[in-house]
Amino acid sequence: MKKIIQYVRRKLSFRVSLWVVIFAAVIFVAALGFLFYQSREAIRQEAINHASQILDKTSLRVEGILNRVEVASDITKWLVQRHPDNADSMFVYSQGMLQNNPDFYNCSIAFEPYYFKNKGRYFSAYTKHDGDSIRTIQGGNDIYQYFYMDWYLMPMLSERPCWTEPYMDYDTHTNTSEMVTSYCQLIKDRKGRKIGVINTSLSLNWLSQTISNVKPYPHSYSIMIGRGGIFFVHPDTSMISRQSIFTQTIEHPDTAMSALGHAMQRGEEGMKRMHIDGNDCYVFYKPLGKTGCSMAIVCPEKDIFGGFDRVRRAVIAIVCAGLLLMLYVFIRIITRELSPLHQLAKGAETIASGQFDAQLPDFRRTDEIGQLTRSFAGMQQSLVKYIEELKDTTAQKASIDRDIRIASAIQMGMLPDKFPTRADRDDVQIYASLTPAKDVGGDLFDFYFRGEKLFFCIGDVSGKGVPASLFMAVTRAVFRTVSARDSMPDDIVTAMNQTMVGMNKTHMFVTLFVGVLDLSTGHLFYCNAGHDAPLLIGDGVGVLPCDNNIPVGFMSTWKYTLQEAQIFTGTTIFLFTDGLTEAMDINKAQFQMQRVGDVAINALADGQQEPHELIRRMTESVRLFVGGAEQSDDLTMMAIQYIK
Amino acid sequence: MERIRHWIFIAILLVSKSAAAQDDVIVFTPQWIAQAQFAGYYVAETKGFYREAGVKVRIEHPSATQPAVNRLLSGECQATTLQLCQALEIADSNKPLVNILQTSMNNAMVIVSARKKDPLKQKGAKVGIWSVGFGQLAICMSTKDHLDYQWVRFAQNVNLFVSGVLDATLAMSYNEYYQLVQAGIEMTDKNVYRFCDHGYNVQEDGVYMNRDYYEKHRDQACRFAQASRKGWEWAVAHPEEALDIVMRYVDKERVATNRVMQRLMLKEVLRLQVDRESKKREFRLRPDMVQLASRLMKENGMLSREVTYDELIDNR
Amino acid sequence: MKTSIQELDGKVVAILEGSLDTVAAAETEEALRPLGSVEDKDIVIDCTQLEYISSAGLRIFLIILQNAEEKGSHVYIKGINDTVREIFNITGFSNIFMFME
Repeated sequence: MKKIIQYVRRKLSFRVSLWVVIFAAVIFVAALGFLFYQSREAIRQEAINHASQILDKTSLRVEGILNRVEVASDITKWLVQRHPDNADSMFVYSQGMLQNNPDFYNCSIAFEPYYFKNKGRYFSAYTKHDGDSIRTIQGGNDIYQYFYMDWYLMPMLSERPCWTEPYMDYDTHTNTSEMVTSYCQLIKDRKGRKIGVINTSLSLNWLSQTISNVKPYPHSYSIMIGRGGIFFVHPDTSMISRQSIFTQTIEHPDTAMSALGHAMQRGEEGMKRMHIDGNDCYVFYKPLGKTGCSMAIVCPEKDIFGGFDRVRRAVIAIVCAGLLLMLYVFIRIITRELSPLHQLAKGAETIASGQFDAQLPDFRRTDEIGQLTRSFAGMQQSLVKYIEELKDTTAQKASIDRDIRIASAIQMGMLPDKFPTRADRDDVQIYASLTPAKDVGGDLFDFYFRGEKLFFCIGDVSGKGVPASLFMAVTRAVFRTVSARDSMPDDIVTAMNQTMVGMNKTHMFVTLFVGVLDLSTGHLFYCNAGHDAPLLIGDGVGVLPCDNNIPVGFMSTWKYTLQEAQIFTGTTIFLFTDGLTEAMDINKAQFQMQRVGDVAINALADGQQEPHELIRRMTESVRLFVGGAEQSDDLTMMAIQYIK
Repeated sequence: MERIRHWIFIAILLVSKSAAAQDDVIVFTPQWIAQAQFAGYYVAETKGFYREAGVKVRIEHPSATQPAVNRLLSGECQATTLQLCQALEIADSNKPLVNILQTSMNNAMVIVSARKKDPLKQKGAKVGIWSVGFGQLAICMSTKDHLDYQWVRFAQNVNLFVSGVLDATLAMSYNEYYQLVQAGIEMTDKNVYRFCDHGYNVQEDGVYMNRDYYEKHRDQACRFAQASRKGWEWAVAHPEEALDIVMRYVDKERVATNRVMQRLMLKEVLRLQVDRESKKREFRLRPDMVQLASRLMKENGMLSREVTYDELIDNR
Repeated sequence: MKTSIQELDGKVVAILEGSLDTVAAAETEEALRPLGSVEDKDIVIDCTQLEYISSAGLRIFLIILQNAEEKGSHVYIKGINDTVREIFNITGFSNIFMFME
């Protein structure tokens, strides 16, 4: 089952075809269902009408004959009643009845015991056809005591004319027997006394044949039952006169059959749908005049709907076959229509594997597949172009990276790398570190000895990266150039400022601290141009007071001020850029001056205020603080300890 | 001459033998047309019980021209079945009879009322009665219980009742009763009056012979009775096969009935053979029933005297 | 860092909100570029919501000032907080800008 579901999921053609077929099937079912139902109803109604008509026709024919009997009997009765005393004329009347009606079976005019005193106990004028002739006799005797016969007693007791239940009439004369039914009428004399009965019989042969021949459908049959339910017409001749419609229901109760029997006995007419011998049947029934008999036509549903059912089965088979065929054909068609997608997919896979210029199939179609193909092709071209650009850019970047690394090396080369320690000099020891935020940075520091003086500076170009590094290079170069001539920091800064304003079109500036330390006296001249005031770590930690001059590089007219201070032995001047104080951790909290001071205090307390050690501590402290955050600005520190 | 005498002697011997052989055949005429009411006899004939018992029996059914009683009295048959009341009537008219086998131990007669009425409430109703002479007890009952039925004698079937001209009819619980059921008549406790339940439980069918014939052929008669009884007992043990045998006789005589009716008749007839008190098939005449019937019939003027039990049996 | 420029009472007002650190400097410089083409109007840089300024930020201010001075307009700094004021003092920028409340 899972495999089937997977298959269905995978194949678009199958799914679409299935939907189409399902939808078509629903429509067919609805339409055909409605059609079949209506047709079936129409056929059923037609069958009912047909059977009813036949029943009516047959019934009319039968009633016609019965009517004749009744009328003939009436006439004879009238005759008898006019002359009830003439015994011999009874033979004439009885004979006359049969002569005028050749299709009647027999006729008896029978009288009460000893009615004709001279004729004895029995007197019955009996006439019967005997081949071509008519036989008339007196029919009553000790063996045939007609007083107890149905045909005599019924009209006597009910005082109404009536038809008897069919019975076998044995003719001892010819030794034959025939099934007959009799119409019997009471004869009264002028005083209203019951004197006898006229009995006219009709052979049932004709009736049986007429009814048996009623066969509207190949497998339908007719039955006739009498008042007591006994079959007198039945396709199974062994049942005639021997079984009634209720017989089988005694041992095998069948409410439908019993209901039918009772309905027919009551002389009702109608139709019942029943289950007989394993088949569903329609039974149409109608009484036969006043005889008390009733006939019924049994039509199996199979006959009625036989043709219809065959057609229906055929149509359903055709529809099913058609739908299956439709499914198959649709699957094929859709698969065929979608085959370009396969090719496109394959082409895309080829491209994805690296062959960007693989040729996509061209279907020359204007429909959705064609659009898709063109989109694919467009995408392919963009892809190719983009890949090329990417290659170029990567190459460029690689080359730029190379250049930057070279620039970095150059820049680092510009910074002094030899730091004098106690071992090298006896008057001062210096250490500095510069960690750019990017490969190249905008911070700078510089120092050199000229005579007995130490010239040093620290600066921070606004910005970072290559632009700042270039400006930094310029600044350093200008510092060296200017300080070679001027010895006072304020002059140096002023000169630097004027020079750099002139060559500064990019609005860059650099904060700068320039200091000149007289190594013999420890006297420091300095000028601060917008830079962070350095710390003095000697007798405690303090900040070197600095004037607020503007940074160098943007206002040529600024007058930079000169400051001086006395540096005592062992004191370390700690210079730094704002990369130190503004070092940020991942929460963007800054290191701040406070912490710088704290590290300095600790170092001093530990007696570790020597430049190398101090700077190491600062570096470590910042590193710990920053944690994993990216370095935001160049970090530069320089420590100068006067040890003379 | 010797030769001729020899041949004459042989001829006489043969003739006398055949005459004797003629004497040996018992013609048995059941009361009515072939039906399960006489199953035991059919079984005995078919199964060879008569042959085993060494009696030659020929079963001949009555016709419209010659009812069974007539045949017995005229000698056309040697044995017949009669109802007890009939036998009493015949005995009363100085035609002595012997009951050689009593099969019925209960009364089977009922009154069925039309239109769901209660028979006991139908005073003066038109009630159908057989014209051939059954129904004596019913007449007694009608008088005794002051129901004053109007008796309408009918020839042979239930058509009169079914057609609605009668208010009620007598019926045998094994015969007409089922014919009425077959005609779709509804039977309830209300519209069916059973004589056996109201103090009229007088047994019915038995096999009777003329007394003088009986006393000349006592041995044969006894064997005939024994074999017949064996036939009945076999039927009790093999009801379906007995039914098959009955249907063969029915078909031969072309009787207008069917297997369902015959099955019901056989079942009821066999049931009636079981005595109410002893719950056994007694196969005997009960003196108390004979007395009851005699008394009732004498009271109603059907008998000139009370016929006794001893008159009907072999009192040797 | 949010930057917006408005016209108010005949002056061009640039409102800075947030922290003008080095990271935000690039986009802020871009956002304030239109100030470079302002003619005959004074420029007010509203720093009431400015929390912090770095050297890169100072550079931007400097650019604005130099552009304005070329065109003859004035640049006023409005509402700086203590942190920013400190930076202005240290760098000496407080000497070159005009302040208003």
